[in-house]
Parts: sequence; C-alpha cells; structure tokens
Amino acid sequence: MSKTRKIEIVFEILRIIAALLIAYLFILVVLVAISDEPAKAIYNFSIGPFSTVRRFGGIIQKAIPLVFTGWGMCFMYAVNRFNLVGEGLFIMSACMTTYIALALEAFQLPKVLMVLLLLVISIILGGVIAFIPAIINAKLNANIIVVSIMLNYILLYLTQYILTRLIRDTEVSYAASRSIPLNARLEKIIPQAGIHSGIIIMAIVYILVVILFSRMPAGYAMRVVGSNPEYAKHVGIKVTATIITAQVIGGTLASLGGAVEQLGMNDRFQWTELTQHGMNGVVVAVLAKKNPILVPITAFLLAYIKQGAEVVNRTSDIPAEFIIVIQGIIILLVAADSFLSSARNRMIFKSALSPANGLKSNS
Amino acid sequence: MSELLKVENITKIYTNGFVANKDISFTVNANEIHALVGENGAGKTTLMKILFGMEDYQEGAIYLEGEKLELKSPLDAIHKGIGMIHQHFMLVPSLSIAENIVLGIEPTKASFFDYNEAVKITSDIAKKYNFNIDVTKKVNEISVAQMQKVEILKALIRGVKILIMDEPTAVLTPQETKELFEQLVILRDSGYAIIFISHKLEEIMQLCDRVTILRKGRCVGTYNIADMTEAKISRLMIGRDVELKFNKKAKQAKNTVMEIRNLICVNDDGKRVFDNVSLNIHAGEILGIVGIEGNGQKEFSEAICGFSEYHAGSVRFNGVDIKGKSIRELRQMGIAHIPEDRMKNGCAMNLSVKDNIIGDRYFSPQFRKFGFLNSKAINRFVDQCISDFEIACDNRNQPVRMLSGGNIQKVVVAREFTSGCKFILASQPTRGIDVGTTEMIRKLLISMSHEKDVATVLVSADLNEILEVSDRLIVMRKGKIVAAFPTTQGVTEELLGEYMLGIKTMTAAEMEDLL
Repeated sequence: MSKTRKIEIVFEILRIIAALLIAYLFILVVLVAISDEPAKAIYNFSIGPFSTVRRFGGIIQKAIPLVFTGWGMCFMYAVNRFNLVGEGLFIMSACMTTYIALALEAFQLPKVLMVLLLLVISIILGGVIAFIPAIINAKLNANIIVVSIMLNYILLYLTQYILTRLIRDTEVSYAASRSIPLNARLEKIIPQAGIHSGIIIMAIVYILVVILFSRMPAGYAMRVVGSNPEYAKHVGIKVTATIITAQVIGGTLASLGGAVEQLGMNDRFQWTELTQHGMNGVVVAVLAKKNPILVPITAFLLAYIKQGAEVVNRTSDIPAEFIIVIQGIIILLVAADSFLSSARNRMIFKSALSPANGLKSNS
Repeated sequence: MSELLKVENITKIYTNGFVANKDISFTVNANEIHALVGENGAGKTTLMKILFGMEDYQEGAIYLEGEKLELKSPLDAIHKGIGMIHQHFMLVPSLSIAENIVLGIEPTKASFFDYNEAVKITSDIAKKYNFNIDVTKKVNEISVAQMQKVEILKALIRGVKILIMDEPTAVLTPQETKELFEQLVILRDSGYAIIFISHKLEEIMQLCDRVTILRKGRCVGTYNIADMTEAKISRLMIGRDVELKFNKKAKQAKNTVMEIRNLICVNDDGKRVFDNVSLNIHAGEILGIVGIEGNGQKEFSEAICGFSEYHAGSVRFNGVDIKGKSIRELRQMGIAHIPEDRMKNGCAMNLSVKDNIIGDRYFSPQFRKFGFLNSKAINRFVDQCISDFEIACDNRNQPVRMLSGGNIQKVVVAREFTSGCKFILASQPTRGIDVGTTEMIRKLLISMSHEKDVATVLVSADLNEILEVSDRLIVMRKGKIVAAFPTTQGVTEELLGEYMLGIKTMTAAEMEDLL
C-alpha cells in the first residue's frame, strides 16, 4: 500500500474518532455548565449505561432499530440518493404490523407463522412505498429529499388515521391501539436485559445485507452507479433500474426495522409523531462511512450516547433533548470532508518530499 | 533583453501525494516567445496553473519584474499582468465579440453600457495587433480560430504583459496555425512575453526563441532554440528515443462489419449534427475520422456504436440493426468503446482498478459462482490485466484516482481490449497522456485490428496520430463526409487541413467507392 493511501486511511479513521471525541467533550462541558451536580451527571452519562444489566440492555434495545434504518440509508447512499423515506416507513411499518396483527387475532396463528407473516408484510410494504419517491425522482426528476420528506408526513398522518379510526383502544384515555396479541410479539430472549429476539433477525439480515452489498453482482452495480453514473452507463449497467432497486431495498430495511421495534418493544401502537429513527439512521450510516458492515458498531455508539442521555435525564436535571444537539455536532464533523484535511495534506506533502521515499514518479 | 518573469524553485504536491513540480526555476523575458515542453504528466499544466493563480504551491517564489507575486486567483493574476488562453474557450456564445471582450470592464455612458464605445475600443485594439475580425459578430457565429483571437484580445485589453497559451494549436488546422503564429510574432515584437505550451516540436522550432524542458516534474533546463534540434528536445523531454512510426502491413479487404446508411442526427436547435452519412467499416481495418472539433465526428462515431442517439437512417452491425439495443446488449454483441473523456465516463475515479476493469463483465458466468461474484476468478483476471497492460498501481484495490493519467487510460484500454470485441471505437485514445503509453496504445490498436480482425474507428484531433495509425481516412465537415482516402499514403496534415476547413471538398462521385 502506498504511503499516501495509508495516510488517507489513518486520517479517515482519526476524523471519525475526533468527531466523536469532540462531541463527547462537548457533552461533558454542557453537563458541567447546566447541571447542579456535574460530577454525578458526567458519571451517569459516561459510565451509567454500563452500570446495570438493564441499562446495558437499553443500549442494545436502542441500537437494533438504528441498525436497520442505518442499513437502509447505506443503500440510499450507495446510489447517491438522499432518500429519507425511512423515517416515515418506520412508523408506517410499526402501525401496519399492529393493524394486521390485530386483524388476524381471531385466527390464533402459531407464533412463528404470525411473526414471519408480519415481517414479510413489512418488507413488501417498505419496498412498495420506497418505490414511490424513487420513481418520481427518476422519471419526473423531482428532488428526492423534498419528495421523501413530504411522503413521510403523508405516511405519518395515515398512521394516525389508522390509529384513531381502526385500531384505537377505546378503553384507555390516550391515543393507543389495542394491545398487540401475544402470538405476534417477539420473544424476550434475555429478559433481565430486556433484549428481544429482534437481535436474531438483525443478525440474519446482517449476513444477507453484507453478501448483497459486497458479494452480489447487484451490489456491485449499485456501487458503480453511485460512484459514477456516467461510467456505469458507459459499461452497460442499467442506471435508473439500479438506482430504484437500491432505494427499494433501503426501504425494506427501514420498514423491517419498524416492524421489529414494534413487535419487540411495544405492547401497543401509540406513536403520534415521527420517531426520528430514520434520521438517526442517517447519522449511523454517515458514521459508518456508508458501509453496512460497520453499521452495527456505529449504531451501538449512537445508542450508547442516547442511553447515557436517558440515564442522566432520569437521575438528574438534564433534559434528554440535549442529545439532539450532540448528534448535530457529530454529523457536522464527520460529514465535513475538509475537517482535519490540512493536517492530512501536510503529512502527505512531507512524506512525498522525504528523501527516503524519493520522488514518486507516478507514471 | 529585460527579464519579465522569474520562477524560482517552485515545488507543488497534490493532496494525493503526487509531486507535480519539484524545484522548477526559469525566467521569461519581454519580447520573447518562450516554449514550455514536456511529456504529459511532466508538470506543464500544473506549472501554468500556478502562474495563473489557479493552484497554490508548497515551496518557491514567483517574481514579476523583480516584485514577488502572491497570486490568489486567476483574476488576481490578470490584474498583475499574467493572462492565459485555455484550450477550452470561456466565451458567452450569444453576445457579440466586442461585448465578450469588454465583459467585466464595460465602457459606460451615463452609467449605461456603451455598445458603440465597446465596438470602437475593441476594433481599435484588434487593428493595432493585426487581428482580422469583425467585433460586431456574435460568438456563436464564428470559428474556433476566431474564438481564440477573441480570448487573446480579452487578455490584451486587460493589460497583461505575459500571455500563457496552453496548446493553442491543438484545435487549429495547419492554415489557421500559420495565421496565429504571424499574430504571435507581432505581439512579441510589441513587447509582450508569450509562454507557449505545445507538443508539436516543429512548431516550437519555427516560432519560439527559447525553450524550457520539463521531465517528471523537474526542470531539465532552458535552451536557446537556435542551438536545438527537434531530436535534441525530444531526447531531453523523454530521456530516450521513442518510435511513433509503425510498420504496417498492407491490409486486405475483409468482410463488412458495420453498415451505416443515411444516418441523421438533429440537435435541440434543429441543426443536423451529422447529415445523411453512409459508410461501410470492414474487419481488420482502422478507419480514421478527422474534422475540426464540433463538426459531428464525435456524435457520429458514438452513434454508430449505439452510445448516443440518431434520428434517421440505419446501422447494421454484423447484419443486426442496433436500433433500440441497450449498451449491455451492444457490448455483448462485440462493440467496445474507449471514450473521449476517461474521467467522465471511462472510469469511476473512486473505485478500485479491479472494479474499473470488470465494469462491463462482472455479471458474466466466468466471474460468478452460485450467483455470487467469484472473487478468485475476478482477482486472477484483473491481475493478469495489470501485468499485461503494465498498469503502474500498488495493487488491484487501489482507487483509480491515485493513478496518473496514462495509467488511468491503461485501465480503460485493458477493459475495452479484453472484452472480446469485434468493433472498437477509440475516441482521442492518447489525448493528454505520456509518450510511452501513447506508443503502447497505438501499437495495440494496430495489432488488434490487423491480427485479430477487429474493425476499428479512430477519432482523434491529433492528425499525426491519425496518419500514423489509420489504414483509411474520412474527413468530416458540418456533419458530412467531405473527403475519403483509401490509404494514408501521400496524405499530409496540410491536405487534411484544407478539407477540414472547407477549402477543398470531394464530390460524391470521387468518394463513391471509398465509403
């Protein structure tokens, strides 16, 4: 490997670590500034998530849906389409699986069959809905960000229609669906940590995603199209079809995440606003350098910060919302290509000029 | 003779670690045409961009009339007195020549643009330096050579003292080149300094006073033209003698591979880009297509292999009509294409050498195992390509953007030449790459067609290349074939120039059996 390439890779990793560190330091400073008991708040934020099994389980619980939406965004990014429909799909999928589980309640299907059926439905739902902004963007050249965000609100209000008109439990005073039948719920496999069998689904999907992304011809075509559509066209890859396929796959993943979260974590469907899981998926994917292999790690990191904030929120006077600010900082630093670039360039210049390396003729 | 510009120990390193210039020093005098030569990749363009304020540098200094220059932008460079004529002109087609020249420094009357004054000052300056142009004409009505004059006038009216010209003759015919040289001599004698970049050594011998030679980013030296010969310069540039002449066997007539009948393409303005062109291309021959840029040869050549559109007529490839076929289908039928712009569609810069070589065949059974990509087979094939085509890279996973221009082109050539094609379109296959790779690509084109019976179409602005490599030639002008030569024997660049410019045209009867 050439020296230049090594320096580039080292700085790429440094950049992400530095971004996380800066955000982390910022959190600590904010905690010190606004908390009455800063030492306790810092302890709770940084060590708190690991202090009990239940809290650690909380990290895993929070990470699972982020892994799915993060993968979804990796596929959107692979073909250079900033399709944010994952946000709306997440809530839609949760709502639809609840609706269907309730509708099929009378049949008393075996658990395995019921869960499998619901997951398949969420996958189809995700694919079909993600196809809408993708095709509008491809055929009508409409801005994908605008179309997907507008679609998210349509999806949100559709779920509210379903919630209030079709599945609402009239016996509770707040807006919530009837209780999800037990045969539709994902088993808790580590009850003391609250971890449900969604983690197994995640592991299976992980293998499929990685194979598709880096070992299948279709995944290769997506990378080529994303990297240079003109080149893809020149070598005979069907650019539009590839772009749409990738977004459909991205949609199915986000949708699957919504179903797993709903069936694994919740008793009822009671979301009345967008959950931000889709947007957090963007953070996860960007941190993972848009590589699905790394997504579980970055999802875990983000979940850790979220869990830390939750612990602080529960044990002290800090509002949980402050982590949104933190996320913004991380994205800003990781997404900013030029962050640390002058240091990197100086290293490259120095190494190119060093007598040991000689003059790289490069031809 | 007064020293105008002094460049001292300039070192420039790009962020990919490539040392483009190392300790370059030379001086340029007033009343001088100073040639700058070097192979592609030797650092000429980088050096010029530095002088024009488009690139920064890590070490060294530039002095203009003894004063140290810190150029921040091209605008800054123009203010200080350094102008540059690019290969691609930056003009507003819908405005008149006069308006283009005064753009940004418009004369005003009562704070309104004074068109008459603009016409007056621009025609005055044109007359002063003997530029024969009508400044009231719109830029979209004038020829490339005239656009170049407009660019020169734009620089002159802004008061530059040094004019950098980046391969100004690449877009000109021999006749236009001669006219340009006369004007450059007038400018020189009126006190300007001209830095003249060119690959054509005979032009340098003819026009320039001194020459600075670059090799692999370093300055070999500055010499008086009077003491030099073409051979001497070329040896200093390359460090060895290069053979760009080839021994070609006489070709025998083979079966027709491509039959083109009455092909027409109309652009958005309703203008015919190429018009009613009919042509046969045979196995085992190299057909050269020449023409001044923008006369339809690019669009025509891409249309016949299905990479761009046509609106009427037919193209039959081995008897099959190509209309409506996807690029993948065409490639599987045996069509290959080395595109004109390797950065834009020849490869994906951020992907690896491997990904760029298998781009057109990753899905073929040869590279698949149970539906998955067969890494072993792919790696074996790619490594073979890297060694066969002498691609200088660290390994197959290195991103293509880290390679030099010549090596990027080798990646493209490796892909297209190993595709098992029966027809190949080579568009400007050696533009902007080093002599060694140029030699290799030309040899490959010849051996592919003469030994493997590939039908080859070569489109190139380099007339010398066309004459060296082609078996047969056609000249295109305004979308039509205006001349055809069954052999390159006895055809000169000047003769081609006359047909390209429209000074001469062959009649349909003259070309009847040649198309």
